[in-house]
Amino acid sequence: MKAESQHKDDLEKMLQSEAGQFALEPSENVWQKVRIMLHPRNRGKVLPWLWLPLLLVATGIGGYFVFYSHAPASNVISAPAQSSAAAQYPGGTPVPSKSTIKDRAQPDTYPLTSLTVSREKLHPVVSEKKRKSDVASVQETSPRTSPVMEQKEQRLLLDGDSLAENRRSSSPAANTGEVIQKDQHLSVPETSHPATGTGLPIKTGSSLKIAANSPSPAPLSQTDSLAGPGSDQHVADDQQAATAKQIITTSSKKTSLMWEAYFAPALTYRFLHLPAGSGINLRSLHDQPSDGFSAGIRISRHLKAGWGLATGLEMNRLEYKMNAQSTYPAYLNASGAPSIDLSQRNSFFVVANTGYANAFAASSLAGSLYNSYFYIGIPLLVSYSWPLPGKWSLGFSAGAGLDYLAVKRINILSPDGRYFTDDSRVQRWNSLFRFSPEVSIPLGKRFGFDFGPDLHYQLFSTFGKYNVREHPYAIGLKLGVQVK
Amino acid sequence: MGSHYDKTDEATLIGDCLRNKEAAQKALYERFSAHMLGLCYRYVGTRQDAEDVLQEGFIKVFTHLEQYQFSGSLEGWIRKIMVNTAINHMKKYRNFQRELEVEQVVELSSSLQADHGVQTRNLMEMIGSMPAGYRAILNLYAVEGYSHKEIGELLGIAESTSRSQYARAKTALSRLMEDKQKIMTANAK
Repeated sequence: MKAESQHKDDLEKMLQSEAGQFALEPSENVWQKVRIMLHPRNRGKVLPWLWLPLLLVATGIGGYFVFYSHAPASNVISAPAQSSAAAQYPGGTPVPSKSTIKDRAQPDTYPLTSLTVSREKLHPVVSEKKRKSDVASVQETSPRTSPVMEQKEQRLLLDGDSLAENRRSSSPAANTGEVIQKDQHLSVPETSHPATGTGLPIKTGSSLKIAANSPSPAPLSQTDSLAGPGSDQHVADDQQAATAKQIITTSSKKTSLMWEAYFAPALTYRFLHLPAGSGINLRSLHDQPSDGFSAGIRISRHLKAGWGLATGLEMNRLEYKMNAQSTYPAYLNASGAPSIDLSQRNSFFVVANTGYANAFAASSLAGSLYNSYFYIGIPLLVSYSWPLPGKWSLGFSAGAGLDYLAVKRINILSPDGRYFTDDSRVQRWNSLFRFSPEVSIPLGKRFGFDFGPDLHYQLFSTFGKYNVREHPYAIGLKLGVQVK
Repeated sequence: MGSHYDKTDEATLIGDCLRNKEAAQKALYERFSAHMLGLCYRYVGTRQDAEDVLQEGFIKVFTHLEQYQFSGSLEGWIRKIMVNTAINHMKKYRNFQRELEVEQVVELSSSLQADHGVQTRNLMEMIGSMPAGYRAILNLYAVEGYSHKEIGELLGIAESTSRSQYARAKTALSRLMEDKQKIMTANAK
């Protein structure tokens, strides 16, 4: 027994001496992890401040185009060149050449005769398809007009009803012809005038729309003098008026602003990525699917050939659900909310029970633990649409915006199941990428309905000041009402 | 590559660490990390776990350094943090508490059947192959010099349990060493 006791004492001595000598060289990544936790990168501070000005500039440019730019001047309609139908005008009136007009009127002026569209009524053999192609060809080649010129055009252009009325009421004395200034870029090919003496360039688009709504349009009475006596000009003018009105309506549709109010209930999902060497451990990198919604108003404007721009005001409530089985508040602050001692936060993710010997004394949390974000944002979106049969259209819009995290309820789960809130390290400014394919259905002339999937992705991590990359997604079903 | 902190006195080093100077923190880490990893290894039994504990422990050291009162050696203070961290790490395993209460069967690990003498590393590996409860009490009492009362408080067990488990742990270690000696003798013949 004594020998055994002596042996055990020797064992203790040996253990003490051997243990004192025992050393192992740690691998390099241990220090790297310690260093990262002591000196976390401030990656999150830089990116939003680079991103913010870019977003503001983009929003400003987008807003300028949407709200202040005029319709492209390419919507000018003039007589098609080398029209063979022009020579067969039934009224027999000689085609006034450019030089003829110049001789008759003052230099640099054209007599206002008739709308180009009257050609089709006077020459029914010209198909609707042909007319459209003529308009399209001119749209592509005409230069931009100056604002001054547009104003003059607006003053002189009439809507279809007023045009017809003026035709009927015009007296010979009024047939002196009203002229407009010939702008140098509105040159008319000499061979392009139809037999009516038409071919005067007119402007469609937004300027036409304004003219169409004008309560007191300027008189237009030159046509009779050019059409020649004996022609059935009044009947033709009625038809011209109807056609002109149709074109005006069609044209104004393309350039008008469209408002939209929408709501999109959504499913949400989030996963987290820890960059190499982050030194961070989390309870789980994947959240359970949860729900949220987006709602807002958008104003959009057609730009060119199916393309458009949109902006507006949007709210997004995105919620991410974490598995909360066996979790505990890390620390309860004075108000009883789970919190963390800020001096401990760097080591929280890797150190069990940092600073809180009795962390597990707190009662466990039943149910689920949520991270809730409520963003208010100004999106800037580019859209494109294709026509579908039955006046439906298929389109998509994609873009990002400036989003402010207005209300948040954020919990972070440590490896040992404690959760806490660290508001001081949450990014308030962020950006949500938005992608929405949608089908639009017109409901009458001014209203419409659209629906389609609505995808959101948060571009920057809410935990940007920790070395954690967040990938939050929301996919919803967007239901919108449009007003033109 | 050495830094100017290599020969700096502890007070200056601690002062610079408290000013959050990375070079000073690294110097302090390098000064103690090897011995502390050895300590962690004795408790947790694997190198991977030992490095995890070392990392946790040094983060605690740097984040609580202002609590160091200069009343004892810095190494002793760091050792205490490492021991507590290692014990907390072991507590995370579900069976740890049960192992503290019941007698364990200990068998010689095949990895220890080498032809070397009972060297430090082999002894540490033997300790590492023991059940976690034995390992913790053996290290705390025999190496760190804790009393059974302190061990009981730290591990949440009765003082008498600590005493009995320590006796069993020593017996188990003795048996392991005897088995090892027999193997070595047989190999020599």
